Amino acid sequence: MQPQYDDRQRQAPAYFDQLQIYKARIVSKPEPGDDRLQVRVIPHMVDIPEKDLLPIWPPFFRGQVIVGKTEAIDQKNADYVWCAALPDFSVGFVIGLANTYEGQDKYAHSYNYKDLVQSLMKRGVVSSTMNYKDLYVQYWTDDYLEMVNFRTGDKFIIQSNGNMIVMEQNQIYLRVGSGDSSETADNPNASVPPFSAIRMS
Amino acid sequence: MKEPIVSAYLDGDPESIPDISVKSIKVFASIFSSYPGAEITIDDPEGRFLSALYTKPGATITIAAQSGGVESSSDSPVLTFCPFRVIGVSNKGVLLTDSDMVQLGSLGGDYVIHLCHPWAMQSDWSNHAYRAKASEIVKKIVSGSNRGFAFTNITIDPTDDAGSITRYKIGESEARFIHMKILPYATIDKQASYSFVDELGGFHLRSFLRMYNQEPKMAILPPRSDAVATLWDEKSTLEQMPLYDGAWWIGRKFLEQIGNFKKVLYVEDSLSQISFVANLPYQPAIPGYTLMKKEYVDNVKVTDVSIYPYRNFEDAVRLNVNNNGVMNEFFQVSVTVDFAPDLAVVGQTTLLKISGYETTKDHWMNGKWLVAGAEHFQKDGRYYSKYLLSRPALNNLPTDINPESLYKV
Repeated sequence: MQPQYDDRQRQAPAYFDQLQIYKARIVSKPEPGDDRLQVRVIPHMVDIPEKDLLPIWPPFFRGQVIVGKTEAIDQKNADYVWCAALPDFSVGFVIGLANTYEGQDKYAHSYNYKDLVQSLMKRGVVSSTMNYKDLYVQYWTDDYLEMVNFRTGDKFIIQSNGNMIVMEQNQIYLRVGSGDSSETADNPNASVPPFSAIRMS
Repeated sequence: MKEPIVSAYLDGDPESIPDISVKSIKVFASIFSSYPGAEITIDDPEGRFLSALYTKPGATITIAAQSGGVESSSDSPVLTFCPFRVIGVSNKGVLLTDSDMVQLGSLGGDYVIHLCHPWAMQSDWSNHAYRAKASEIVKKIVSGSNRGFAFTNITIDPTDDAGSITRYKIGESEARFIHMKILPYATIDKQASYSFVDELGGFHLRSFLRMYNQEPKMAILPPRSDAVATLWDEKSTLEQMPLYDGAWWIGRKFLEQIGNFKKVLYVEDSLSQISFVANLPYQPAIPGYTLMKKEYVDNVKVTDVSIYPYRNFEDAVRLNVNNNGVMNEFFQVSVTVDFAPDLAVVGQTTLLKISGYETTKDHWMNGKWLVAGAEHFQKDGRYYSKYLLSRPALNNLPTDINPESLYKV
């Protein structure tokens, strides 16, 4: 058989002493005091019946704790992580949450830059010169975004409910709440959605 | 003298493949490979067997044998080799130029049936995770019957590992899983382990020493003559077999083997993150002389280096021990005797009792040897057994060699 048709020659042999990159689904998060994740390497371990023996691997980098949605809580929507492991899976590490790959044409899994900038500009936090290409997003989910403008050094921490911390070169802006009113955010009788903000410059 | 009888039966048919057409039957096995194989050559000058497609891949063939012996002896029991499955049928001319004329119109000629142990094609392919001692994992796997056949004779020695590392059998056959993911990290009495199926179908997970400790049933001697009469013992409890053909090889893998005398191991234990540099002097499976110059081993600090990153310390050390298993083949002798699968199959021992240059003296290679490979075959109408014998060290030396000059282990 020519090598390219031999499935086994397409992958690292089981005896390799080299870490390989694998995708895995988070199965469960152990109890407090154990910062590792139990994972199911995909597709290799998709039907392994001995769930208790699925790998429990630590974060790749010290000082990190990686979490995500688990199979234990939501079988269908568990998050995926990248793992570095030996091909026989006897040793492995969890590198971090895994992104999706959607092909060459379109990438739907992007953060909502337009709404974000509009919201920031409305609050006078950023200028119209802010450029998408300058923003290094460190982490984002549907409810949270953390980014740095690598040209100016401005730092943004923003939650979907409108809470934000913005550190610019000449001001620090702290805000609680998402509305347009400057009433205190904890006023239940406010006529319009309230917010509370401090701008220090 | 009664000749051995070897017959082959197709798919449970009580009628054997016609003896008159069988040119040869060959069965082979070794302690280094997972399972045995066989080959049956049928004389088919007219292409009759091919026309009828006598055998098809996947068909079952049973090979039975009755050893020969002296005329006065009672009939030997019938010995059945392991079950075989047809993995291919060929005509020699398909693969290479043959000077034999064949009847081209019918693709006649030799009808060669290639056979393998059922494990080559029938396996439980299901994925599993195991956390147990290597020997327990192997026992669980081979004891299973979810593959279309079962092993009836299983010999498994307990392995040394604690069984704390999970092994994943993923998209692989049972034999491949054992060889790739269990065997490299399994040691028995701190020695290399071997996993194989012998010619009779028995499964083994054993160390060289445990196999070597078995008593031989057969002694191999020079053909009877006045010159070697003293070597033959009429009262011997062992079956005495004359040597028909032999060959030997000392240090066939010497450049691999020399590195094991003083190896240095670099290990980074993934559990403790502690790095080890271990000096490992050679520990052979059985004591004796290696014929290695003592001066050479004494005067060099290191003969080889192995680096095992990422592995658990336990796995790394056992991997190194198994890599040293090549030393068990330091001395190799092949001998051809009368058909004798009832007296020795792979993983058993035999006694070598040949004559020295001075026929009245023992040869320095004499002693017990492990059968590492075997081939039972037919030549010129007679059946023979050819054994590949191995040892890591020898007990005796030629008289004019000073034992002090050799590295003794």
